[in-house]
Amino acid sequence: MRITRLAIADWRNLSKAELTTDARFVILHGDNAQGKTNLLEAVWMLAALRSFRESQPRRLVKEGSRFARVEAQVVGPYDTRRLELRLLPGKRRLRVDDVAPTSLGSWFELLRAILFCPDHIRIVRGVPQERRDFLDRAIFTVSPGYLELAADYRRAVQQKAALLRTGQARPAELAPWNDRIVQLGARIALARHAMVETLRPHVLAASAEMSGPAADARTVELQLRSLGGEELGLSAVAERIEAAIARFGEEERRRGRVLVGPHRDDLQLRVEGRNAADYASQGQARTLVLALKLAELAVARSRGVAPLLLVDDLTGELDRGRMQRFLALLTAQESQVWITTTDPAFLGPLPAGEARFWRVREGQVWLEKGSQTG
Amino acid sequence: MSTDDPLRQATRQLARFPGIGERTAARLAWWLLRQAPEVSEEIAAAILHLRQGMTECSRCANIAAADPCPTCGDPSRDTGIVCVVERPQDVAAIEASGAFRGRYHVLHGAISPLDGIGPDALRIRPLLARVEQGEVKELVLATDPDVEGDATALYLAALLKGTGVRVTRLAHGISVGTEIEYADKSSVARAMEHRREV
Repeated sequence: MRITRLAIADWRNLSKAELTTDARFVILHGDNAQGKTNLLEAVWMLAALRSFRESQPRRLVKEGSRFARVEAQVVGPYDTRRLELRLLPGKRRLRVDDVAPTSLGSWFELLRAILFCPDHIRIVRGVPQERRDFLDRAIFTVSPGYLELAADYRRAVQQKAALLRTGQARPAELAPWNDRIVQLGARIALARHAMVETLRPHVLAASAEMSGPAADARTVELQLRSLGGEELGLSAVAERIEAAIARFGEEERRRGRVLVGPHRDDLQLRVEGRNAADYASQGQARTLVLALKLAELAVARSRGVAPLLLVDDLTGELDRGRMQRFLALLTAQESQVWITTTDPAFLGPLPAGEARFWRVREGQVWLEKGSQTG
Repeated sequence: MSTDDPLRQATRQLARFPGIGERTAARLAWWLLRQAPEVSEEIAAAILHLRQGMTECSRCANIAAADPCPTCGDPSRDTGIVCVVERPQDVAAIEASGAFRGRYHVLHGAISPLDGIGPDALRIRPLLARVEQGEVKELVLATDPDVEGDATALYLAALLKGTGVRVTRLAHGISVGTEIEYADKSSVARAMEHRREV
């Protein structure tokens, strides 16, 4: 998957930007607060239909403008499509070759991306929700249909919670929501378990490679804490969730909260036998995050999906050695890589003839002359 | 009280329609002004008559000009099979398919605690009353294929357990004419979930 043309209008501080490129490495460089990350965010928005740092879409529209537009020519494995996103007041409009997509699922299948950004440290340090989100996104990257399953499940939990909050939930009224939580939840638990098992060897390998030859061998573990184990089939997991709901039913009513289901899962990460959230050093935590994301990429590739890689300024995150090892790992993939950086020299040598350097300053973007390294 | 002239008043009223913005409303108002006076009178009369002339069928809760509605009043239709839908518009959609010759029951919504809609807010009791009369042999639950529609169907299925009525759920999945290769993945997943024996 590759973006060969990107056109942006009235997005954040970018009034108008256009990039045409066939390069595998697209380097966006410039000083801080010039618009590099805004550009990367626009690409991510096309792939994910949400920002990685702004929950209010209207704030993505340039001040004083009525709407923002992001358009990309995406070269996929089979064909080339033109994807267009418009953020209008109170709504967004999607077009694939000027036609509205039949479903969100069909949109997501056209452009997949994996994002690396400094904020992802939350996957290791943050609350369980962050780790569930990471797992869910990894599953979604290989099977976009998972999005609908996850959304349906979330809706069922919200409905049950609303019913519990009334304080007068009759068993007959709770039953259908419990059934949805059991049926949809079992499929989610199983998908997550399968994903953890698939990710594990890739996480260990990436973690070892990132740490480099000099670093002492770090032992990394990941384990999903959930009601359903991977060794169990769908109906067995469903039975377990059902039994747990029966067991905690009284407490759920008393507390007015949904206490049982995969929305309470946690992906436990350990470094050297200790909980990474609390005990990993900052360097270990950063390496682990990148190892998780690299594993997500490896799994996607093993399923025949070549997502775009979007790397938001990791200069402050990694020392030079790790950064270059990280880029070497990305270079070994065929995917297109978009990187923002304040200092292109920090990236080290990139494959000859495959990198283009775009300069971003005060919302303007232009191609640097002689922008190839080799 | 508004001091707007009649044109502005009409524009404001027309803009209350869903999908009609201020500009379209103004265009419609100007258009009405340019037409013969009968046009406005006919439109106004039809709108006024809409609420007076339509009523809820006391059997199936569909909205129709007569009670019982034409479907309930049609003796050629199978009284043994009842299709349960969320909205009156769903009746029209299923009728248009020509694939169903039974009767209907309109719930007027789906269970949704988030919106404060419990089973009591829907036409479920009249449905049970119809079942108790004994003529109904099968209920086809044709609520929407979303979480609320599924939950409503499950609630009804549990409620009807032990009544001896056969309860089925409308199948959902890949649309006709779509090759599996080109169907979007969630439709394939849904079709797989609702697979049936052949």
